[in-house]
Amino acid sequence: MQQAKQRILLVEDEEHLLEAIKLNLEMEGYKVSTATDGKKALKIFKEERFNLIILDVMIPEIDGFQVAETIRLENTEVPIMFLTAKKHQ
Amino acid sequence: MFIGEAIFFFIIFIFGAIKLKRAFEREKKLHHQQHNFMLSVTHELKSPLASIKLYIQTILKRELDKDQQQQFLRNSLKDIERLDDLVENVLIATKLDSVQVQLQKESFDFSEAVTKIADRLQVYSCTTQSIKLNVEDDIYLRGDSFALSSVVTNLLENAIKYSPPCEQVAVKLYREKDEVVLSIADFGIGIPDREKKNIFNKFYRVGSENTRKTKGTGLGLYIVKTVLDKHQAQIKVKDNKPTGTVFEITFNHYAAS
Repeated sequence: MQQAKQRILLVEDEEHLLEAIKLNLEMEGYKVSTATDGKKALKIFKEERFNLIILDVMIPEIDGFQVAETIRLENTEVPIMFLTAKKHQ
Repeated sequence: MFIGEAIFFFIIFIFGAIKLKRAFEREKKLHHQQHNFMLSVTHELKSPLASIKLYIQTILKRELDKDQQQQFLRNSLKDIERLDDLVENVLIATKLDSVQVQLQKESFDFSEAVTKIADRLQVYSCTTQSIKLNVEDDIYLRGDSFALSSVVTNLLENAIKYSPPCEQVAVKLYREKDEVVLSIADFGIGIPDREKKNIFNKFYRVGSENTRKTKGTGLGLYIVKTVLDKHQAQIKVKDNKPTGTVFEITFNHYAAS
């Protein structure tokens, strides 16, 4: 029996970067949903179930840290990986 | 007598304290803006670099078809252009801040410069013709062609950046009596009245650094204003109708026939 694909929510507002990361993850066999701002990310998170969230910090509407806090209120299990240019946060 | 002196010194003391407080607040504000500048430059430098790196790694590692490879290379090229513009702005801003460096004063074809910049940004901004050009031929200016081209580039890039995708941006260049007028009008989000006086300040950007929709460094409009001041040209910021912004530049003394 074939195993169901692991699902990832990728949140990144730089479209080029989003496209390149998505393609690489899909080629590794993951199912990837994308959002380009914090508001859309939370909406998608409420509608679907994910095994991992990859989150940019500087995103429009609601920043990545706030998105992570909101997600943690509802779900303490799902791993969240930050994607950021800022080294010291 | 003693009371009079005491009051005098007290007033001096209060005056000094107020001055000190204001200087401290100014310094704090500048520090905050510089911190934001560092954040935005880090982001503006690292994001395109990360995406170029990832595109090249993907091309090397994966079996991609030719169309996909071409698309990735085109995207990388756009990111390189973006880095190029950023480096150019940082260099010009540094040059403008330096007292030793003088801007050139040469006569050059401003009509040609505006047309070339609009053509370049047209290709990169949209597949349809979003920049509508209305440029009178043979308008010459006396000034620094490199710095003045940067003014046009920054204003036009802003107009595109703050507009919905492929929305029209109208560029007009014309003579009016002895003056030369350049107007760049967009139908974008517009600038609130309370922000209009701040937008030309160095490092100033509207909104919060973490949740801003558009990226930038807060150098573009500072460069615009500083270069124009050095050419005794005026810039006005008006609201466009029904929405958006019009930047109108008037060159008087520097217009050359």
